[in-house]
Amino acid sequence: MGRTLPSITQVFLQEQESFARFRRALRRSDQLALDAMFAAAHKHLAAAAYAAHALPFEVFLLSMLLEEHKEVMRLRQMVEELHGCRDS
Amino acid sequence: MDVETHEFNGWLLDLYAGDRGIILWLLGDDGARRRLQQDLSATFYVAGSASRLHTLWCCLKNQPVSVRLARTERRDLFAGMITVLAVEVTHPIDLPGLFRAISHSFPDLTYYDADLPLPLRHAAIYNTFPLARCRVTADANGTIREFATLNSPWELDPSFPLLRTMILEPDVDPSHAEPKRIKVRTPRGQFTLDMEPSRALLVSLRALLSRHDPDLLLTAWGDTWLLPRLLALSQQTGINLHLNRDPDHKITHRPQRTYFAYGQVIHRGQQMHLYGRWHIDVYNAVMYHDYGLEGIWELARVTSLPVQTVARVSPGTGISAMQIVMALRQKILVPWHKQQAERPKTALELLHADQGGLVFQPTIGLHANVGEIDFVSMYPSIMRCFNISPETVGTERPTAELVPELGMIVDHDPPGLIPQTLAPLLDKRLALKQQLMTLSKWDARRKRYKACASAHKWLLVTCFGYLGYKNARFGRIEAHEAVTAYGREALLRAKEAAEDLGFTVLHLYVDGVWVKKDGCTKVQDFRPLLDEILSRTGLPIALDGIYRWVAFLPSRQDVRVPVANRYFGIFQDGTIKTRGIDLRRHDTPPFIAETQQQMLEVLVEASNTDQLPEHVPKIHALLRRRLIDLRQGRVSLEKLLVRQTLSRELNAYRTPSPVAQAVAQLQAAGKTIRPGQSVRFLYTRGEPGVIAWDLPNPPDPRTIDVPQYKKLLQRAAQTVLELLTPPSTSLLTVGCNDVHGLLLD
Amino acid sequence: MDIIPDLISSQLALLIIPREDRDAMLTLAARLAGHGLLRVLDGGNSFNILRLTRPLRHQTPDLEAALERITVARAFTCYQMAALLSQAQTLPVLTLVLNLLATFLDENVELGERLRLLQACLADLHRLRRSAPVIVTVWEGTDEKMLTILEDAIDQVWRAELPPPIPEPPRLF
Repeated sequence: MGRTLPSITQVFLQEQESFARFRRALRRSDQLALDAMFAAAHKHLAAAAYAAHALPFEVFLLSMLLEEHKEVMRLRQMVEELHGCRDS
Repeated sequence: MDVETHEFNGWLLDLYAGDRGIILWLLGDDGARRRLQQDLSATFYVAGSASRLHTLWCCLKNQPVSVRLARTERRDLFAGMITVLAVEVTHPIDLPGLFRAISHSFPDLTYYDADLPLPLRHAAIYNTFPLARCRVTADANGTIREFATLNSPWELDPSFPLLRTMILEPDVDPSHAEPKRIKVRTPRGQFTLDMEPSRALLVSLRALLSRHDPDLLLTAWGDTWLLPRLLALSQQTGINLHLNRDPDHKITHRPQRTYFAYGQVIHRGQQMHLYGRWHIDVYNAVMYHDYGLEGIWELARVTSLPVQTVARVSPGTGISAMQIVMALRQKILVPWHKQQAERPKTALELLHADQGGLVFQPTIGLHANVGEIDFVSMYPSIMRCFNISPETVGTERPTAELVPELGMIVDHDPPGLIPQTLAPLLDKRLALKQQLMTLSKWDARRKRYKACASAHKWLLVTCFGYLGYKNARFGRIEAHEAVTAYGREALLRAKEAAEDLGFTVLHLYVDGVWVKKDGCTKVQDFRPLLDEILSRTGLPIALDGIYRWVAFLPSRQDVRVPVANRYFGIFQDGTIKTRGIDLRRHDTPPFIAETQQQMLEVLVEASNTDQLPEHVPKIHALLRRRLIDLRQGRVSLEKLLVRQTLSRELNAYRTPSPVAQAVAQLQAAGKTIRPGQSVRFLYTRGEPGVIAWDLPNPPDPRTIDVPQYKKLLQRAAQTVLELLTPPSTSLLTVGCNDVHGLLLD
Repeated sequence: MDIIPDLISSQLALLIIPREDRDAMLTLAARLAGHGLLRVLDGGNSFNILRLTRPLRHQTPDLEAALERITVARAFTCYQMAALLSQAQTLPVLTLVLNLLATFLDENVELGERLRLLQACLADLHRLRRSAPVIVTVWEGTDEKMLTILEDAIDQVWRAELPPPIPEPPRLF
């Protein structure tokens, strides 16, 4: 009652839908990678809602970047551990 | 000349308009049920231009209903003191008709206190409520001279009369088949009466009613079938049943309704209200299964609404009644039509204001030693703590405070109407919860306290929605938005407190946080966090429990995507908590819900997450046994029933869903199903794929679509099993394959 | 054809929009917002600001400032709609009344009462037009009787056509 704006989940799905043509023209393996990025952004919907940004897609992009960076940090740590094992 | 009067004590049973004044029924300490009369006038108020009010005055002076007119000042919640015409109607029974006539002739005027239930008016003056303890002085004619209420609805253990109850129950569900007998239960024994011949039935019932004179008539399908049928038979045979205690009144019959509210289609069956005694139909009583009769008594006490009304209406009506009584007591005008419109905000402000509670996506997986911390009645507590009420938001007084995030201010002083209405309810809820914790498991009071707690919970949960409801008398969207803004702020502060104290936050959901920290496994380990959250937010907070382990489940469509409200877990005391899974859904067949419950109960035996994998084979075995039962036809049809609600008219379905097809079958068999009503059906092989349950011919068990039920059962099992893999291996590979091997049967 | 200049130059205009063009009201709002201050009275609970932001961004780099130039007030019942209009001050601000009739279709309110409120709304619309243009939108196919009342009371009535469909690329199979 009284809610005028769509829920953040609906906004997210609409944004994802708006890239359907782009996705269609990608290679299958690239499509899966794109889907993984959207799935990653899904983890931070609450923060996106709270942000109440006028252009929500910018926040979704930031969420994707956030998850990518977490992955980079994780991999970096793995690489360092492997290097450490090899050198010792 | 001194009129002889009698004084006696008793409990209030019923209150309604009489030909003169009002009629009250009192259950005296001496056991007598007395019908008494009390003089009471009812006043409504009219606002408008002076000339129009003058014309109305003349009109009222020249009509037959007895009224007393006065020009006076009274408080409108938003506009402050305004000039109104007070119309005091001598006999409340005349008010509805008079008001209808006036509002038709003078539609441009603003009306207040015009359509209020009579018991609420009485409550505002005498502090009465159903089952209130009263002291009454009456004369020989039964006219009340003095009246005093001796107790209050806020007591935890009020004195309670011994009610006489009679139960009427047809031998079969009338929507399924035509009943042939009625079971009658009285304090003295149980009888069965045949429906035919009807004369004998009516004569017997009349004798039973007269002999036992029940205060409460408890029925099955009494509203929708039994009482209407008895009354029809009574008309045909000319045998009067005297269902009412009050011989001067006819039974009030309210027709069935279908309406749209809270985003759903709701259907309410017809209602049969008695006078002088209560009729409750257990199948037409809203949320009866949640809190039973004791919950109904509590709702009536706390809202002052009659027992028969409170049993049948949604909690919104209850909250509204409480607000009305509070307004009447404070001489605040109760508007007839809500006129308050939203104050314009900038598009940017709307972007920030139009949000609900914060709903996070949990960390998928199995987690051990997780504390669930909840704000106690968060939204009502916020309303009370920050004085949020329709008239306190948006004012520009020096005592006002800025609401977090929104460019809106709330006035802290004086106490608003809504916080004042909620305060005693919140206090009682808290006192009850504390009492419940001290009671032993076998204390007789537990059941009643829990029923009361459930009733309170529903009222409190509704009052927030009511604040923003378009048709609420005392509602205002800005107040609604202020509450959610405070809620989001409180939840974020709770999260920050948890993280500052070294806890990992696994999940946040509107008014609750799930946290864990190494070494924190006992209640006292979470104490510092509770204190910190209380100090940062000012709102009451409690530890709901510590999970031995909890599983936050992913989305059915994509295992990478978390879902906010789908989890299950076992508390340290062994109780299971589930949200969003099959057994929680209304349309899951009992066979599947029970099996899933049994699977969870297997897991209760594991005392920590390391032991969980050992119990997985037991679940597999349980699943195998159930699948065999299903295949061999050992599952009764009742356990396979799917219950779904018809959400719109049949012709509004583009392609008929299973429920639409079931309804079509029922309608072909001559039954009417309206939107908002639910039907039960079974999945069958071939076309059309469903068969409705309440058809004249029982379905053939051999037509059951076994593969469909198998699929549903496997899905339910998958939900329980998907996260239960040994902690060292990946959740997606080994676990899934294990389960898949079994499920690809 | 761009009707915006015509809409703005008329004092009080009624725009009837085909139901298939779901975004029409919002697109209109976005374009009107580009012309200065805009007051929106939303009778259909459909003012999804997020749909406005991209078109607004195309018009101006400062999105937040643009959003602050738009005020919104919502009505959820016909009583609230009437109250909104009666409370609206006569200001030199363009007023857009979205979906005026949505709340008037509620059959829980007696028809006579709804018609009375509608007349009150029209009186306020005529009051507001004195200081700045007022544009009222309704969906095509809404209540006949009420639509006729509006058409009779409002001098400038526009019926929007569906935008031409984007031609599908010819299919090969």
